[in-house]
Amino acid sequence: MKKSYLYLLIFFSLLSVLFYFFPDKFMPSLKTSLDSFLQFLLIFPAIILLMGIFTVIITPEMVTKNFGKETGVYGYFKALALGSLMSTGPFYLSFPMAKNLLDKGAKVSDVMIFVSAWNGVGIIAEIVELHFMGFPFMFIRLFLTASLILLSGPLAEFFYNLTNRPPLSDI
Amino acid sequence: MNNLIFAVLVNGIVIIGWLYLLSKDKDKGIKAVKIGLQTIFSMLPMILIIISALGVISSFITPDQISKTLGSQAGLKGFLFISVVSSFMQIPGIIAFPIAATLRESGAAIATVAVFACASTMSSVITFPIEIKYLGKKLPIIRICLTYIICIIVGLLIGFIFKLFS
Repeated sequence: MKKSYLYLLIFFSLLSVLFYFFPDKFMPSLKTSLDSFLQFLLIFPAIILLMGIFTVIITPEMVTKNFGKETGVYGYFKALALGSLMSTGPFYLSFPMAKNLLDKGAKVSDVMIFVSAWNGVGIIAEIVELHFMGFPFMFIRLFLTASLILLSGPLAEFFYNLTNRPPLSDI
Repeated sequence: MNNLIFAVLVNGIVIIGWLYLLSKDKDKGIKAVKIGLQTIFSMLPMILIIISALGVISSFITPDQISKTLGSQAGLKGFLFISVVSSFMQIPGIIAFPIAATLRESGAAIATVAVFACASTMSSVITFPIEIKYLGKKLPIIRICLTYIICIIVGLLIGFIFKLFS
């Protein structure tokens, strides 16, 4: 965490060098940046609280316990919902979690949907998308992405098993 | 103005939800705020870097240049270019959407904006080495290929739908 603040410091020093050579670009840059930062600040309280609330309520243990109880289409929808709710954690945490689920006997299709939903249609990201992109864009993208993620689950399992078959000579 | 109403609404609903949690379980309510603040402060430098970089880049590049390379004038070329570049990146959704909004405001085609939003959050070739450590080679390869196809389809369909209704 301290390291990233160091990067920020380095970045700002580089920027000041840049603006030393292009002083006329400073005000327009600052205006654009402040505008988007203000947009951010408006939904900061919601983002902070939601991240905390979901981390406290939706624990990995809870997901593991609830995962893969149902089969078929209902199971796919459940994996999608759990992935979206778990998405408060950083992206790279979705891999150990997926491995854990597979080890516990979850289906490839469900795990695939879970990982994609975590990254593609995370609940907090969707709120940020709604705020920045507006309802039509957010709604259409969410609908399309979620439907395709649901389809990609069984597809991934099909491809996975396709290459898992023993070679013909073994039969 | 619309944004302001939305912000008040979302913050209000979330705060009510949090108060409910606090009344049910005081420890969890306090822990939630602590975790939320920790997460946001660890992300803040990245958010600030991206936002300032966007400001600087948009002051050097004119909307005209963007719409020529990534707008509808550029056609499929800009779309495919962005789809490939953003598949390699891994940007958290919280940060990807402000970038997407800037792209759209600077004149990028809506399909290109959508494919950026999808691919930069979902496919992430750059984390492939971490992914294979946990899941083996086969599943990550299948996942990244399928995700890339999803992003292309979502981008093209959004472009089509927005054209239909504009």
